Amino acid sequence: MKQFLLTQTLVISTLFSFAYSAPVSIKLGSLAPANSPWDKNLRIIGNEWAKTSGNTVNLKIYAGGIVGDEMDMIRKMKVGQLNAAAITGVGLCRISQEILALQTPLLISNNDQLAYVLGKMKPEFEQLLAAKGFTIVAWSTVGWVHFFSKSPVSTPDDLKKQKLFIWAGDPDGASAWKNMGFNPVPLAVTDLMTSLQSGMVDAFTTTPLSAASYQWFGLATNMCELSWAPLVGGIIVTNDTWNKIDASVKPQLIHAAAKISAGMDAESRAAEASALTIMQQHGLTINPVSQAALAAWKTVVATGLPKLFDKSIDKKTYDRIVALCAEFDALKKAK
Amino acid sequence: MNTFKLKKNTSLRIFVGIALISVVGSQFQCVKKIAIKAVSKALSGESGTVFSGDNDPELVGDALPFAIKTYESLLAQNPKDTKLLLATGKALCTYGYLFVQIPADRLPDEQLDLKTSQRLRAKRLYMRSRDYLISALESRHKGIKKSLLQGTAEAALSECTLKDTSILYWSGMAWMAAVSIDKFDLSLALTTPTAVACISKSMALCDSFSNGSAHDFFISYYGSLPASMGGSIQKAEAHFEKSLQYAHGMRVAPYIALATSVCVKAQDQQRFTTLLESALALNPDTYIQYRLSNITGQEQARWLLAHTSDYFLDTKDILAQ
Repeated sequence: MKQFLLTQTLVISTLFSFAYSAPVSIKLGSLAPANSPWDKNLRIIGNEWAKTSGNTVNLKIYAGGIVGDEMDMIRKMKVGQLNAAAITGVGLCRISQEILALQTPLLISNNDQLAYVLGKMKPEFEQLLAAKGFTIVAWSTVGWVHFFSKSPVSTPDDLKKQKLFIWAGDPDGASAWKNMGFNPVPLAVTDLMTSLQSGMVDAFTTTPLSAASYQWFGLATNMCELSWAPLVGGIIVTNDTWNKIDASVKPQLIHAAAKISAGMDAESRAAEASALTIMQQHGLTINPVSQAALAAWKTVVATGLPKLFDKSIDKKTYDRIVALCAEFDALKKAK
Repeated sequence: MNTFKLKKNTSLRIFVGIALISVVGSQFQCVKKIAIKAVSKALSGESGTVFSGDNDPELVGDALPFAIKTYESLLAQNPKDTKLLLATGKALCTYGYLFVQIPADRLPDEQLDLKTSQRLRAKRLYMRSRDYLISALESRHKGIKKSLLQGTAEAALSECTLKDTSILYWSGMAWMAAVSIDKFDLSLALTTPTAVACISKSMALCDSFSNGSAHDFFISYYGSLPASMGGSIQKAEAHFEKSLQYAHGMRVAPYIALATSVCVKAQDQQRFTTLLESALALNPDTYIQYRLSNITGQEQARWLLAHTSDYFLDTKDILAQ
C-alpha cells in the first residue's frame, strides 16, 4: 500500500512538475514598427528569455500596432487574446491612473531626476499594476514631450495665441488647458496632419522623435526648448500568463528584460538627439526658454493642476513625487 | 521558343561586344567606344524577358550580380547612357528586393544580427540603384538630379514626358524601398515626398504603366501608412481596383500588396487568405513577361500563408491554451 501511495505521489508530482514547467507562449503587442531599434530590442529580449528558460518561455511579437493601439492591446490582454504589450505611459495610466502623476507637466525636470523618482516609485506602481492583473517586467523612458508650433513659443503667452491640439476623449484635460488660458482643440491624432494643414490647430505636444518620424514638424517648424513632461513606458505581461512561468526563472527573465530596456533607453536618447539635429537641418527652430519664462510656465501650470487633482492626477502620488524630486535635488547639492 | 532566341541573340551580341573590347587596344578608342555602345545596347535593350521571363529565380539570383558588375563596368566607360543606367538601377533594385531583403525578412529572430546586416545591405543596394536611376533622369533633363535631392522636385518633374515613365517609376521604387527598409534613417525618411512624387509622376504620365505596377506601390503605401501620416484604406482599395483592371489577371503583385497592408492592418485574416490564394491560382507560365515576378510572388504568398500566425492573433489558439 505504501509503495502504491509512493508511486502515486511520484506520478502526481511528476505530472504537476510537467504542468508547472510547460512551455509558455507569450503573444506581445507593440506599436514599435517592425525592424525599428525598439522592435529589435524586444526580439533580443525574446531570444534571451528563450535561452534563459531552456526554450520554455517563447515570446511572439506583433509589431507596428498590427494588433491595435495601446488601448486595444490592453483590452485584448484583459480578454486573454494577447498576453503582453510594450506600451508607453499613455497605456500604463489607463491601467493605473496613479502613474500619470509621473508625467505631470514641469514636475520632473531631467533624466537623472526621472531615474531617481522612478526607481523609488517602481515598487508602488508595480503593486498597483499587479492589483489590476498586470506584471511589469521592464520600465523604460520614451523621451520628453515638447511644444511644436507654427509660430515661435518661448512663453505661455506665445502659446495662448495659438490653437493647441489635444487628444480627444479627455474632458478633464481639456478643462485644465482652458483653465490655464490656452485654446485646446480636442481631436483624434489621425486628424493632426490635416488639421495643421487646414489651420484648425497651430500647435501640439509630442516627443522630438515622434515629430520627426511622423514629419509633423514640417507643418509646425518651431519647438519650445522647455521639457514639458517625461514619457515613460514598459513591458507588461498579464498575471495569468506570468504565473504560468516557472518561478525559478522569473528573476532571470526580469533581469534580462531590464538590462536590454536600459540599453533601449540609451538608444532612444541618441535617436532623439539625432532627430533634433536632422529637424534643425530641415528648418526646425528651437526657441529658448529664459528663467523668467520658466517661472511663468510654472505659474500657469499651478493654475491648471488643481482641476486635475483626483480626477486625472492622483494628489497623493503627486505629493510623493514632489517630495522625491526635492530629495534628489538635496542629494545632488550635498555631493 | 522566342525567349530562347532572345536569350541566344543577346548572349551572342554580348559575347561579340566583350570580344571586341578585349581585342582592341588603347590606340583604338573609337572602335572601343563603338564596342561599348554595342554591348550597352545589347544589355539594356528591351529584350527584357531574359530575366523577367525566367522560371528559375535561383538562377536569376546567381546571374544578377555578374550582370550588375558588367553594367557598372560599361557605365564606367559610358556614364551617361540612359538605357544602361536604367538597366543597372532596375537590376540592383530587383536583386536587393528579391535576393537580399526577402530572404533576410524570412530569417527567424534567432538570427537577428544576420537579418539586420542583410537588411542594411539591401538598403545600400537600393540607394545605389536610386543613384543610377536619378542619373538616368539627369541624362535626359539637366539639373533634375539636384532638384530631386534637394526636395524641390515639383518644377523639375513637370519637364518629364512619357519617355521618362519607366525611369521615374524605378527611381521612386528604389528610393522608397530604401526609405521603408530603414524607417529610422530620419534624413532619408524626410525625402519620402520626393520619392512618392516620382512614382506619382510616372502614373500621371502613363496610368497603366507595366500593367498597373505603380498602383501596387500605392496599395502598400496608403494601406500601411498610419492615418496620421496620410494613410487611407479607401485610397489603398481604389488603387487595388485600378491595378486589377490594368493587370488583366496577369500579375499576382496586387493581391499580395493588399493582403500584407490593408488586411493585416484591419486584422482581416479571411480576406488575407483569400487574396493570397487568388495569387496562387495564377499560372505563372501563361504570361512570360511577368513569370519571374509571379513565381517569386507566389513563393511569398506561400510563405505568408505558412506564417499567418505572425500577423494575426489566432483566437482559437489562445482559448485552447
